[in-house]
Amino acid sequence: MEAFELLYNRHRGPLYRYILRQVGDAATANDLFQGSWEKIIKASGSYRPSAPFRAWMYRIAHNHVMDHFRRTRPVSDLPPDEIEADNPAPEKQLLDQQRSSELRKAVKQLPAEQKDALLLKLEAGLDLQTIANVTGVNRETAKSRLRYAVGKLKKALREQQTESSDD
Amino acid sequence: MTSDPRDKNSGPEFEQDLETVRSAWSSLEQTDPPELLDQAVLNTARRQLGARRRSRPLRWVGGFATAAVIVLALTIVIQQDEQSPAPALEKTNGFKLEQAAPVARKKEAKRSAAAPAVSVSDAATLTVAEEMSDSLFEPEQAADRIPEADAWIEQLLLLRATQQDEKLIQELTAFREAYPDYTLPPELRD
Repeated sequence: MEAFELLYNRHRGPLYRYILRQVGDAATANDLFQGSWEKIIKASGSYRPSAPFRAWMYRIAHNHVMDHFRRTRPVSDLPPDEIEADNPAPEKQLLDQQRSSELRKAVKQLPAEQKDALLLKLEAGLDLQTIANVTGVNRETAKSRLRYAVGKLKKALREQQTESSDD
Repeated sequence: MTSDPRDKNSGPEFEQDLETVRSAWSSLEQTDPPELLDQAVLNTARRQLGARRRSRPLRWVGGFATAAVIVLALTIVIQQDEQSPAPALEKTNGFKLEQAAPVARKKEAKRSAAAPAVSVSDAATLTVAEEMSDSLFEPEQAADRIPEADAWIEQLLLLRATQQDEKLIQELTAFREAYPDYTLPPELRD
């Protein structure tokens, strides 16, 4: 059990954020997070060390989230209040908050596959080949999705920078 | 002119863009799961992994039975040897050795032929992982036989958590050979 706890503690944060930023609301993220771990625990007895644990774990979580999307599309367009900072902020913090908010908005607007690839890169820290393995596509497709996502986010950040320098 | 991201090289420019996004990303809050959720997951693990441990057949029974049979067989052979005259003993032993070698070889061949079948049946028992194509992971594994130490440790931890002791010992031995200076986490020390 200590071994499992160690694994859980290593991955709980990034896996939670990967799910939360996919679905946008904490209640759904909590359900999916718990469901993912239940599946991981259930499948762990037949785990073979042919795949890295992290890739194996994210593949289970990815499939679980995709199943959820298949059942519940379209996703609510409400902003994810739960992940907003709620402490009053001085000017710099306000700017950071605006930036974060813009970034979240840009991520939210990404097509599901691009968002998935981006979150697997930024939250899970997976490399391109592993992202391809986890999402069940070839490396080129994963690369293309990631490139589009990064391009759009960069553009959003640039626009936001221009706006704040105009102000 | 449209700015198609495909026009960019996947090299330095993409890496630079990724770094810009990553840096902005790091300003986002590091939201963690609520504590109650942690407890719920860990309770599930405790229940299921604990139940698996309780329902496992007692491995020592098999080992004990084999040892008992060997001791019994040796006792009989020794008793027979003591009762038989010396020339007959040599003949018997010689016969036994000659006969035993091919039998042992056959058994060994059978065992090695059975080995892949075991892993195939393992794959068939995957529950949630059934929908996952393990073969997707193969090319990467083939390209890099020795996993990175931290990733390997995580594999070992999961084997430990699920009490896959034989696989754990094999992997642990291989790990120690590949990374002799690596300090194992306490959870993996005996």
